[in-house]
Amino acid sequence: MNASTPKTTELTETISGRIAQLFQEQRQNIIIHTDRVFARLMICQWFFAVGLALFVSPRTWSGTESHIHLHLWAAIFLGGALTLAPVLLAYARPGEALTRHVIAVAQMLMSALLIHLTGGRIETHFHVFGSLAILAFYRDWKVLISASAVVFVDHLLRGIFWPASVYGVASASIWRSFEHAGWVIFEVTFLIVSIRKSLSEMHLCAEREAKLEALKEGIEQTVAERTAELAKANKALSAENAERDRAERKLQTEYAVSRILANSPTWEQAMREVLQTICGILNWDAGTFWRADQRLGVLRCGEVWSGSNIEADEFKALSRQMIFARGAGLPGRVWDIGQSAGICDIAHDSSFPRFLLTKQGAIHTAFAFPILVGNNVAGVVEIFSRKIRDTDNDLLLSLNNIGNQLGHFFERKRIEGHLFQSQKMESVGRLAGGVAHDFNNLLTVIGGYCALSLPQLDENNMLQKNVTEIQKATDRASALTGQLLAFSRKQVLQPRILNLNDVVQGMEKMLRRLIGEDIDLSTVFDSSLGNVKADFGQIEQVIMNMAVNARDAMPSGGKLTISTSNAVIDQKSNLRNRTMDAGAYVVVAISDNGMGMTEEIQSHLFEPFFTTKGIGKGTGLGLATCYGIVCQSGGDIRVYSEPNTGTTFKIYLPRTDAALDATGNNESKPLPAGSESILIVEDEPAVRTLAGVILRQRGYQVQESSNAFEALELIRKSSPFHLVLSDVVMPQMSGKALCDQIMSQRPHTKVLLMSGYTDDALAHHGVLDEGLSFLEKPFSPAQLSRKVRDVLDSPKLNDSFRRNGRSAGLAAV
Amino acid sequence: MFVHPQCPCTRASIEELNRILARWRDGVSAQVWFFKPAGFSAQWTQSTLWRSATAIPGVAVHEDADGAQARLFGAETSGYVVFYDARGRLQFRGGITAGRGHAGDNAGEDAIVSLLAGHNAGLRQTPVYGCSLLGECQRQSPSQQTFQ
Repeated sequence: MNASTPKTTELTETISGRIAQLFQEQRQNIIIHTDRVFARLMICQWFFAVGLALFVSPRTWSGTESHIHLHLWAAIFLGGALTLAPVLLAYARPGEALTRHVIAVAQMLMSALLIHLTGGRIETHFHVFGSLAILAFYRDWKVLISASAVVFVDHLLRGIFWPASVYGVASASIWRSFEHAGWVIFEVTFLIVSIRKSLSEMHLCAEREAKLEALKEGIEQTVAERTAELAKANKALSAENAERDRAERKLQTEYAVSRILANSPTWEQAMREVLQTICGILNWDAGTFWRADQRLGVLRCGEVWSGSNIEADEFKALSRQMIFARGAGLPGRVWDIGQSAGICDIAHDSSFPRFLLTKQGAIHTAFAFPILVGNNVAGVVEIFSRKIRDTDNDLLLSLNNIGNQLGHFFERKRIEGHLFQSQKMESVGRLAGGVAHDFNNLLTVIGGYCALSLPQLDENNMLQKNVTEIQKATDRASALTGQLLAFSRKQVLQPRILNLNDVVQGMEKMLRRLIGEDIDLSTVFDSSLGNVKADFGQIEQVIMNMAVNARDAMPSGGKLTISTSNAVIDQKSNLRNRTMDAGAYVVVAISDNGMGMTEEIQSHLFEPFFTTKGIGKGTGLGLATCYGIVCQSGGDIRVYSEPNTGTTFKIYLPRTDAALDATGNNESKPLPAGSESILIVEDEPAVRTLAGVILRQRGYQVQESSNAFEALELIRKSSPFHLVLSDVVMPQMSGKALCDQIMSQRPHTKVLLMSGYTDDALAHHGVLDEGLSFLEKPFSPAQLSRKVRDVLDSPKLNDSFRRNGRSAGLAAV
Repeated sequence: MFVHPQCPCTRASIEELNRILARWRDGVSAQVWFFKPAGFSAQWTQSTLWRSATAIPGVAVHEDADGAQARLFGAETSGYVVFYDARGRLQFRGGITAGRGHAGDNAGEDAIVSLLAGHNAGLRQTPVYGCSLLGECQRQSPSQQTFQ
């Protein structure tokens, strides 16, 4: 309330001032307007006076003589004098008090002149009254006073001295002048009243107008404030809309890319759509995807896309052929620095490798961002625009996000590929394992009986040849089963410390025979070669397989070189969905100068059932088996090949500092025999029977059991067994569980497990658990006899098993 | 009445004559003499005033050749009126307008109307407002005032 009072007072003062100003302006306008009215009126009156003189008394006659009447001269000159002065003032100094008073006096004198010109006609006196009324237009009573004074003085003087001039008579009473003056006063009185009323109304109008103005100003101010607020809000809204639009485009792009990446089975298909989507939504005209070839250290064009509004065929063709080294060109630079980069106008950048072509296509701006997988650049996406564009932060952020999305996609695809490969291997492994278990049992029986039969047939007996063929077929089937288990990494490795120089040297004679005379085999051995821990037989198989492949790659002969060396891998590396840890390795390199391989073939080289050999010439399992064996041994195989130049396979196996295991050749020794008691646990009757036959032939006391529970019962009830020979995969209780039971009940009973497929029951990552004795099916009678003897003759074999946490048991069963 | 054919002020005198004769036409012989100088055409004499005078019933309009009649009656100013009674005695002379070119009540008219009504005129002589009738050749009469 208190605060509003000064404001109200201020407003009232402002309005009062404005009222006075408006009133004064209006009054001044009226005065000026009236000045102009009188200026025109007086000119008209002048002409009227002249005309009147010309009409009433143009000439004065004296008999036959005449001359221009004095009235005409009076009308012209006196009238002119009475007219010009006020007219000039009206136009030169309008609105001034002097002007209107001069006009008033002149107008009254003009009335006097007209009265005189009309010979004092009483009717002409009305000009006086009319003039006073018109003078009232000034709404200035003082003007009327001036005019009235002139009228009175004029009438008085002329009434006395020249009554004919004012009254048209030779003599007139002085009272007549007063009478005229009285009528003038009468009119002027009412005119003054009218003027006062008029001024009052003017003031009222001014007041209304001032208030209206104040109201209008208030409204306009409010409108202006509201408009300013609206403009501000609009501006903010526009900015918000623009921001939202940018954010929507960003989200739209990222969402679209995410959707593409979620639905694309391969990166090739994904990148085609991603380029199209990025360019489409963000209004770029062309795009290229460069895939990093880490091995050769170059970027290759993975995909190139251009919109329909651009002629880019030549550009696209050239891009597909181009490769960029690290740091070369825009993609190479982005690859090198691992960050986004752009060129505002490549048409003026002659260092841009596709400068001329981009100029033809009127491409100006290029921008590239990396596809990051962790800290590694998996590829670079390059986009082009025909317009010169700035790469703003939003775009940079958005494209970096997309780069990260693509990086995750690539990583996901890599992992998916690994998973797919693992699943494939797992499936094949399960199949192989399933087949191997039963198949190996059958092969054991077939091969075993063949082996038992052959010594009983003399050379002349036709059956010997037949049985021999059956034996060979069994061996081949056995090898095939072994391969199936090997590439699926389901076989049980029995690694030991090896020196690969010895392994290769041991194979040299056999390899020369295998590859033929057209191929020159040379070996280069590193004398300081470290040892490795691997399955001897499996490693032999790998080298042999490689050699056979080399032979097949050199149908017209050539050179095969097998070299050994030590190597240190100083950085963890990923290849073919497999990680090879950094560390010391021993390398066996098998090189040929054969036909070599394309990259496409190399990319499928280790896939099972992939072969470039004709139908019937290769199973497609060879290299897959090799790869499985080496990977199972913690190593890796690297391939370096150029078409028509040759191929080098490098087998990396982890180096170990352990000493070599002592080995002996048992093949030439006679089959061992014994009298110990042996319990055979085998659910497959044929195998159980065969094993019983073999062992009984070797002098052992053999009892048989078809399952683990029965075996445990026998162990509990019967006299102690020296050895339990048990199958691994059995219903109800596995051989491993049976072994554990025996170890807890009869710790000194030796256990030999046998199986064609263990399903990791005995092995951890395929390597046999320490302390277990294992015989792989299919086995021959000789292998069984030697293994049984070995186990029986190694009294400490199960001790380590006990040390590994098993409870101590009986010293002997 | 003696009239200068071109005098603008005499129009009022003709109008006053018309008013008087409108009331007292009977028994009155009204003669209007228009000055016709020698050498001037009849058209000069028979001006608008001539036509106004001839239009008044009972008025005889004459040309006063070379102002002979005017001299005879001593008329010097256009609009000069002389009034004789039936016995030929001059009863009134002067103008019958109150001012130059002013029609309306005036002393000359009142005098003539009084005489026509058989009364004595208050005034026997009034001033005449009009042009000089004969110009240089006119003869000044001490009793006649000319106002232009």
